[in-house]
Amino acid sequence: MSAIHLVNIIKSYDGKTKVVEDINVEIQEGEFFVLVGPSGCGKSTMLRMIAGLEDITEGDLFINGNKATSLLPHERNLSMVFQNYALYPHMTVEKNITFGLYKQKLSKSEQKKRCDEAAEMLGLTPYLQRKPKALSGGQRQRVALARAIVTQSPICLMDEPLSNLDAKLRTKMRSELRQLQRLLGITMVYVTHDQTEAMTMADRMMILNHGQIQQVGKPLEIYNQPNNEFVATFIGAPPMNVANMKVIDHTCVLSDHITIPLPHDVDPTASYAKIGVRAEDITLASENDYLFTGEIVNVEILGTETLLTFAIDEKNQWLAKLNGQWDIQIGEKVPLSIESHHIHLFDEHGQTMFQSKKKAVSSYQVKDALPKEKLL
Amino acid sequence: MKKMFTFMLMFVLLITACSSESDSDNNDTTEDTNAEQTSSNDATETKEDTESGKTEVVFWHAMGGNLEETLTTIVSDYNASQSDYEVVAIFQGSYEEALTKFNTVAGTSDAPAIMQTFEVGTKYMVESGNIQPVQKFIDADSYDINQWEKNISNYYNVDGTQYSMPFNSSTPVLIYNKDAFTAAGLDAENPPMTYSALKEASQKLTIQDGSNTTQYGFSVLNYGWFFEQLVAVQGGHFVDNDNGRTASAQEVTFNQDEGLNVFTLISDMYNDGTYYNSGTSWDDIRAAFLSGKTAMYLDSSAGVKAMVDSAEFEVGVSYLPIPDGKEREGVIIGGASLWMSSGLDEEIQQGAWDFMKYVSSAEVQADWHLQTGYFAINPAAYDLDVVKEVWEAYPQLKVTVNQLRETKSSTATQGALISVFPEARQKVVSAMESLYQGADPQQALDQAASEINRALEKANKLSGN
Amino acid sequence: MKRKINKKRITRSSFGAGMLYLLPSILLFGIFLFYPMFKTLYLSLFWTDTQGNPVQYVGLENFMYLFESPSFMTSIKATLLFVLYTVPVGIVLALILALLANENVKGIGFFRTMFSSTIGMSVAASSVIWMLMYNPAIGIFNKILSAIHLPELQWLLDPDYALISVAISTIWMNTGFSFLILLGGLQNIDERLYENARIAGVGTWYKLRNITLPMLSPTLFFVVTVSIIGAFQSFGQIDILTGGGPMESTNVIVYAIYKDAFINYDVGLASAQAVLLFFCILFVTILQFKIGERRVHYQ
Repeated sequence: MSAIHLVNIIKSYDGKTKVVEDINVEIQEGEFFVLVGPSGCGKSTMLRMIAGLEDITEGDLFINGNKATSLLPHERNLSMVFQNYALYPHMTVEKNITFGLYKQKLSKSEQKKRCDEAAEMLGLTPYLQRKPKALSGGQRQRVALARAIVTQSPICLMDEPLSNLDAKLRTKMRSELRQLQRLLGITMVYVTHDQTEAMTMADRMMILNHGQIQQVGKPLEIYNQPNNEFVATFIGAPPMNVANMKVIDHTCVLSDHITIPLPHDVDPTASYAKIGVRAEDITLASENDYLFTGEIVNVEILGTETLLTFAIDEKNQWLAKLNGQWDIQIGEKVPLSIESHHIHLFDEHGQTMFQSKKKAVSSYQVKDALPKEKLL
Repeated sequence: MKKMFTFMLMFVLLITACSSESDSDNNDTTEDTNAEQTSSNDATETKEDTESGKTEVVFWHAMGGNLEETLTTIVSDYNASQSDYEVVAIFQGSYEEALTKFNTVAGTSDAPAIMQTFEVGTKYMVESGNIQPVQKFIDADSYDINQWEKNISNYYNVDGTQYSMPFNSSTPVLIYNKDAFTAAGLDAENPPMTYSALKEASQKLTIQDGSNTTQYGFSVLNYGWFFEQLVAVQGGHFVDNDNGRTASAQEVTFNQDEGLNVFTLISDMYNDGTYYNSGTSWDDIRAAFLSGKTAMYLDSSAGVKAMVDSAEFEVGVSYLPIPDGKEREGVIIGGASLWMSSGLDEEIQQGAWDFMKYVSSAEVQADWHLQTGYFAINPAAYDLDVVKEVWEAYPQLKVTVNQLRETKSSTATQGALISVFPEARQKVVSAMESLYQGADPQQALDQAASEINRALEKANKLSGN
Repeated sequence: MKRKINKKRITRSSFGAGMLYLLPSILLFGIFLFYPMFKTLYLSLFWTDTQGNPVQYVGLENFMYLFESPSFMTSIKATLLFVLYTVPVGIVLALILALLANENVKGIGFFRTMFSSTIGMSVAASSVIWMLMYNPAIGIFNKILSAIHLPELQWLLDPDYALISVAISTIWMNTGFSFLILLGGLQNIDERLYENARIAGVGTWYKLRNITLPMLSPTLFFVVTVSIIGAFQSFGQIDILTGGGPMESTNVIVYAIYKDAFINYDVGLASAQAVLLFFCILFVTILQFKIGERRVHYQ
């Protein structure tokens, strides 16, 4: 049974423009489900509709199999964590944590017990009598989490909970959150605009743009087989290289000197408008797989990898990501190669016409593949 | 630091520039001698001659509204009538406000040449030491003050010296609704002259509608002036030492028989439900009369004309009522007089005196009387045809003049001379108001008396009397 | 050694520069605040002549005179009652209106404008309007009373009602200001706090008591302080509506000061009252900060 089921959900404030359009999705019990998209894409609105903080204009919402479209927020048996934590500055941490228990009619001792448990779990025990003002950003974040946990609701909604933290803390909290969710076995619906967060945390994610679902799936599926140009460029860092091109004689012609042969299993007669290549799929060419020469305009050495920026024509630049450290000078002309099965082809509307066949490699396959990789 | 210095220098320059600009502004206004000037700066110009060569005489007054219009006309007529002086009339707010402003400039060169002050400020002005009694000019000019209405000028005559020139004077009168009289079966041409007649008429005039009274018989504004008048008309004194005219007043005397008569009357009538408490606002009591809430009330003679004009019924005017068996002594004048500042150039004082003489001429007084309802301080005005014509149309005006003329000149009708008058009036008002709360008349009077005595004592200590 | 001198010079010149920056405000405060304050204090120890010049040093005589004066006692009573009548009712009313106007419903802008409109009316203008309404002969209030067969009241003329009547008009005049400030405070409260409460399912009362009021407390505290000081200093409406009467029942201290200084020309006595009023307000304000501090939650 799905924990949350959205059927043809539509949201409109003025009756004309739709903020969220025709959403259909099932979120499974115990799943960490991430809603991701650029700001204004409608992801927060969706979350707030699930929470009951916004009315659903059209469509139906089911929670645990029961119709919840017009239930009041507190009747939906869920908890929520807000971006700015929404802590009550005049209450102690303990009061803040137990605030959500008000309606559950729990005994004082039970409230205390739950609060202590949650505090223990999140390392807040020494701060229970403090006011939020006296806590650091990370601690406040934990208080907000604890407040959601104590309710023991099976569903927890989070609206960009980590965006107010600094980068280092954010990375740490990501993994903490994930572990906590697994430990408690709760269904999590998590909103973020940060694709890294989505990729690293989600069991499944939904990419939204302009209120419309772009793709729903597991992070790697989406990374490897994006439905369209938007998803392709939105997910992944650095974003997928995309360029306009023409197919001439079974070859993608990007510019005078850059041509990439189409994979042989591609229908050459279909209309292709754009080509996309992941940065890591552009490699330094050897004798027999040379495709074109890139003039390097920038080099970023990150330690484990090296990012090369090169011009494909007068206006556009692509990025190539090489493993390891490479001492390449700016201005150097470098021979580059792309395996034709790693390219993505899009039509003029950005819909994917052909996608890379890449798949995650399972551990035993790695061993198997080792010599092959070495050869390259 | 250097920058700072430059900045400071510029700042100083700026200030100097501004002040020199305002200097030139002042020069500009000197040329512009219309009556709109209100800033006290303009008074500085009294010393200087105007462009036309006229000596400027600044005149502060407290006549607002249509009174100001009339006054402005008189002033501009005067300015046009001669070529030596230019009178600049400046409105300074109510009597209290004007006096406060005068206070701040009195004795300095900024003081106005002519200052209008209300009657209760007389002692205050005399004691201020910053005024020049007009007696000096009366003597020098051999001016005949007998042409002034004696009962009016007496108020401003202290120890045989005429201190100021009476200007706008009024007395209290009984105003009544003739239609209501007729409806109640009373003789509209025979209004009550005594307390018993007043009570009787009020009984008949009072109309009840359920628990609410739609028409009361009589009302008096809670204002000290009316109480003073009702005491004086019986020949009673407000304070000892002959109303403070033979020596500085030490104690009040209004809590004796005469005052008690007044308070008992109000108290009795209020308890009978025939007396209407109309508060302390002139507008309110007039509205009450015009709307028929009360059939009789006391008003100033200066209000008579306006009342006759605005009432939708026939308005009658009569003398103040007196207790039965008492002799009618007469009324004290109210209103204000014109004072001259001391310490000014002889030339300016002369101009001020010249203007005062002009104002007291029969023609100007006739105009003033007819336009405003104030008395003509020069009785010759009443013999002029213009006045006679208007009196034809408004016989009520004549009643007010007659009441004043029948007044016997005595220390009672001269009015009290005390410096704490404003305070005394407030205490009397409070005492009147306590009557409506069921206070005993004698106790209410004694309470007010003791508080005023306290203020008197302090004032006397202060002035060394 | 040389360095030390240098340092000293720098300190001195920066002190000079600092003073220079402060000069405008020191001048303004000095001329318009400190000088009058000390002058008032000084005058309160003197008997003054009618021009307001100090004539004779009398020590605390003016104060003794006041404490023996029944009139002054009435003033104190009237002032305290006036504060008591106007402040709590005014603020509760403004709070209720602000809570209503904080709801996001269609046309709320109209109500917000209406509720805050009294802020745009001068005390003088509104007092005149109220005076007409209170007028016993032609005023609307008595017309209403008689229409529903109740005995008419002498609103401003009966010592029992005058202060309440003035207080009612004052509440009306001040509501706009308090309303506007409180509404601003309400709109500053993070909407998420209420959303969290909605998910927790707490009731309206609980929300009001545990979220709105504590979050609004700095604003409320400000409004209370300003209202109390304002009530202590009310003048215009009293001058116009009652002139301190009847029977001095509305003769609040500020009005008594005015009367003594500008009608009775007893500047010494007026100054003494001003000094007492100053300490009275100071005391109340300090007390408020002492008590209020504990209950106010600044973010």
